[in-house]
Amino acid sequence: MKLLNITTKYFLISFLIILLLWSVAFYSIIKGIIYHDVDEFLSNRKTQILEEVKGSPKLLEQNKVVQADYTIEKITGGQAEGLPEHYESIFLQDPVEDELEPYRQLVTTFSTKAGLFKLSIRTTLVGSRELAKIILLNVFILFFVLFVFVVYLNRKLLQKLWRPFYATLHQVNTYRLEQSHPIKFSKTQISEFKELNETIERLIKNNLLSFQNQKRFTENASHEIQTPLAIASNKAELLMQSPDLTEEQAELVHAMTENLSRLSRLNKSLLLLSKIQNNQFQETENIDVQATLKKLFDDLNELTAFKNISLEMTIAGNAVVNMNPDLAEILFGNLVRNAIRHNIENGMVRVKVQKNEVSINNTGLRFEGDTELLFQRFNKNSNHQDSSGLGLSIVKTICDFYQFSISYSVQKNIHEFSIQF
Amino acid sequence: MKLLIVEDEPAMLNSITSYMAKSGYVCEIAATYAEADEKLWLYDYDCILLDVTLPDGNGLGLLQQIKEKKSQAGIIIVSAKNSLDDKVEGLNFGADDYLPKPFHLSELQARVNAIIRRRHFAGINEIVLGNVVIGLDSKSVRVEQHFLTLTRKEYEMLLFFVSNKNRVISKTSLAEHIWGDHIDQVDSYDFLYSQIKNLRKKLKEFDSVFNIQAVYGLGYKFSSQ
Repeated sequence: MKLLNITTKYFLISFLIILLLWSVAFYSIIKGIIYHDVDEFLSNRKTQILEEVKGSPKLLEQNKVVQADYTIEKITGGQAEGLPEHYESIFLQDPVEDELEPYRQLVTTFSTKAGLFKLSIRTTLVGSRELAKIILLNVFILFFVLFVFVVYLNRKLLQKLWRPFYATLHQVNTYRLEQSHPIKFSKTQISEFKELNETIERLIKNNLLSFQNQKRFTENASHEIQTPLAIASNKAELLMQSPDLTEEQAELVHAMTENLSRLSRLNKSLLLLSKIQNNQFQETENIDVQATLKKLFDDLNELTAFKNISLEMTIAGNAVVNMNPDLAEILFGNLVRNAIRHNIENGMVRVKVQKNEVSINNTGLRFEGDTELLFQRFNKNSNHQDSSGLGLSIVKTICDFYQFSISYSVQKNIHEFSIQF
Repeated sequence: MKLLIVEDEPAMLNSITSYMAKSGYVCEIAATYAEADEKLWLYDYDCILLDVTLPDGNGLGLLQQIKEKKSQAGIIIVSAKNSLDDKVEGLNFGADDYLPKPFHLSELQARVNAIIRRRHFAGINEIVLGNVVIGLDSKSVRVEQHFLTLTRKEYEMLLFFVSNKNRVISKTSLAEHIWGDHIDQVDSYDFLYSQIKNLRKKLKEFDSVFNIQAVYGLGYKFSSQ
């Protein structure tokens, strides 16, 4: 959930709660004020009526007097005792509009010489109700406007205040150690963000340093190894030419050359890896993937014919990728050769080229390992002693370098590598 | 044929000279930039092996000088840096080939031969070895009058064998020559073996004087019976 949405959510919830509590409170306050007013009016009216009644005792000769706003009823002493003076809110039938309308009523008793009487004085509350409604409505409108304003302000503030944060986030997201330059954030006045930026800068600087050290070490080691390796393998080759080697000696020399070759292949792979990461393959051109694969197929068809593996290519789109031509050759070469190497008798390799994707399928044995580790250095399938375990790692490094995504999947002994450009 | 080997590593220099001398090349050596510079002014060579990292300068500098002199020598850059920049730059400066260290001596031999062929036999593009004639333009091979039908790999293999005739060639160097610099996944000696078997059969069919011999435990040798 986005920060903006979360704050908006909290604003909404707290506003609703405040609005609810406030409207209840406000309603009772308004009601209290209105009742207080009306009750005062009724009380004054009571004095008026009592004056009137005292002035004209004849009025009380009937048992019940009904006037527009009051009624007087004769009651007994017993009734009067259970009837203290009180105000009440009631609903009465409005004869004109034929509906119930709210009234406020004062019920009291009084006595004259003629006996005990109950006096009920009423006044309508319709006007006051309307007033209360209007006030409440306005309160709601005010709240709504305020809410919209706060959300808007919050959004604007977030955008403004959090801009350095989002800028940092974007930079960190797109940052790759392989670029080999420290990250630089833009200046911000907000101390928290300043601290965040400094922390990330420091973190990345340290990472970069150890990354570069590691890279330099691999590179230097590989370089330093090359010359003695070259000398050793050349000497072995010379030894091979010697005419009077015994069989036993010949075997020793053979084992020596084999392993020196393996070592030098390994070393070349490591150098290649560090060169890719050092961004030493800068020249790029538009590579026609289909043509590259076709050339590769041509190159390999004698081998596949020998192994009885069929090579197929399906073209569903024209894939053109901007990358280094040598790396393109290594990338597709490693994948196709991998598919041939881990194949079975009478198997197949099927390559499908789409506009932004190339997938390479092959039949093979069940893969018994952790697919997560597939692309890691020196993670090899034990069946192939002479494999360096770097082929797929090189593939992955090239993909990472160009930000292609590569995935591996297996279904019923059909293995698939697919690259999205 | 005269070779100049510019290489600062004595052990390297030694091996190369020893291998090339057996093929009948006259090898001169230079261990420093200055030495190479001097020799290049004084003599003409058919082919120059040039290590780019020299103690007193960058071997690529020598390239320009060779070009200024309008020398006919073929140039192979040998580099331990295995760096693409060297390769691109070297080839731009007029080098004919680039060979990263470590390499097989048989591979070096094949490259030197190829360059010398290109330089000296322009027009007469044929290699004759005993009764085997290889047409380099048409990529055809015949034994006396009988043309052989070879696959591309068989042809490449034959050429490699011819360049290193009478030498023991290890399976690895042969495989690497055929598969190129396909690091890591050089596959299947079985395939190589079957190719060699086929090639041998085809040569034998027409009684070629030279043929491929298996050298027990080591590899192969192209020699007369």
